[in-house]
Amino acid sequence: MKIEVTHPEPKPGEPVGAQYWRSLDEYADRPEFKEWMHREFPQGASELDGVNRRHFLKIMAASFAVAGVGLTGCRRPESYILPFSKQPEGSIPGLPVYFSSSMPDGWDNLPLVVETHQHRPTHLEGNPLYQPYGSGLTAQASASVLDLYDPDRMTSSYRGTRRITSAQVRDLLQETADKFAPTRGQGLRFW
Amino acid sequence: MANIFPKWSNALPAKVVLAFFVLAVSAVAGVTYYFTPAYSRVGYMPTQPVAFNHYLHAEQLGLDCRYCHSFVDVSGHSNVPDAASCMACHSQVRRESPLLAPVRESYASGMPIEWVRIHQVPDYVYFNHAVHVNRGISCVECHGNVNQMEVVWHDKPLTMAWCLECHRAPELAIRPLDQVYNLNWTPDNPHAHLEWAVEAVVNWNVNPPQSCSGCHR
Repeated sequence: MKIEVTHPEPKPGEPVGAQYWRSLDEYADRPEFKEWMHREFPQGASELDGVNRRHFLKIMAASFAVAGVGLTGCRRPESYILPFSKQPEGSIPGLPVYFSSSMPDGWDNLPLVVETHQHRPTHLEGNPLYQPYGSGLTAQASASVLDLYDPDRMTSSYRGTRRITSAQVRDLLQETADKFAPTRGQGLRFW
Repeated sequence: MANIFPKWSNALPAKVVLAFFVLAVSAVAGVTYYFTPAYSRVGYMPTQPVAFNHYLHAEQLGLDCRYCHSFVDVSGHSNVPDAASCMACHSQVRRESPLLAPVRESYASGMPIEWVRIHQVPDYVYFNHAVHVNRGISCVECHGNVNQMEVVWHDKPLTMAWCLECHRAPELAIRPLDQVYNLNWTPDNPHAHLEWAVEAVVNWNVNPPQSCSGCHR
């Protein structure tokens, strides 16, 4: 035999369990929130202005059909070749350019050969001309080329915590140069 | 009992098969023709910011390709000349021509001229200009007779099958190294040239890759 169990409706005033709330708006029971709950979706999301669902489907079907016809007109996008205005000497598009450089690592100066592609450094090697290191390089120095492409890299110059313009940097360097000019750079170190 | 199907329905299966066959053939033929690079690329002739006339410069005036595309024989990438290359002559010749205004502007401002790229292999294809021109493959093999073009267009399909045609039989395209940049060159004696070419492929150690990784590195 089938037994139907129906819970009786709670009588007014009878406690029906803990009243939970899911947001402060719901707890405050503001009229805007009631309206929002009633609409279920935010303004404008539940309907298209001026277009009902059937019309919308018709338009979409037609646009897919037209897109299919238009496929034959699909070409790859136009792309451009941007040569230099004045090609720098020694730079050949497509070939790497190697510079010798050095890098201070706190202990001493590491001699480097820097591979650049279109003036962007991509790879570091030890300079084989410097005998003591025999073209060796530390792992840190080798990886340091990636610092140049670090998105968190500083984008402007700072003095202490104060941002300064590149003109100010030039002034600062000029000042330093003037200061150390009499001793021809003795006692000056950059790192 | 009356006939459920009328008499003409006897021929219907055959007609359906025939219609399907015709549709399939035309679809395949249409796709093969209209959707392949031979149709979609060849003939691409965009308007360039400067109406540079290859026919005038390369054919009538006889400029070598490498005067402007100067690194084609040393680099994998064939460069497009900088504005300074144009100005080398055009600071003297046709100084006031309105056609050259973008060149003068680029030379003065340092901003590049936006040439529209015509020949473009996909990113997953490695192509090296230098190894081709230095082993007797002329510009004309891939770019067509650019020296005859007043406006450059895409002349060859540059599909993989088209590349492989030549990689399988390089002796049909190879030519003496001093004729690589002479786009009008044809052998005086085709038979003797072919004999020479077969030998040249061996002597120059021309070994065009046919494996995938040769070009798709």
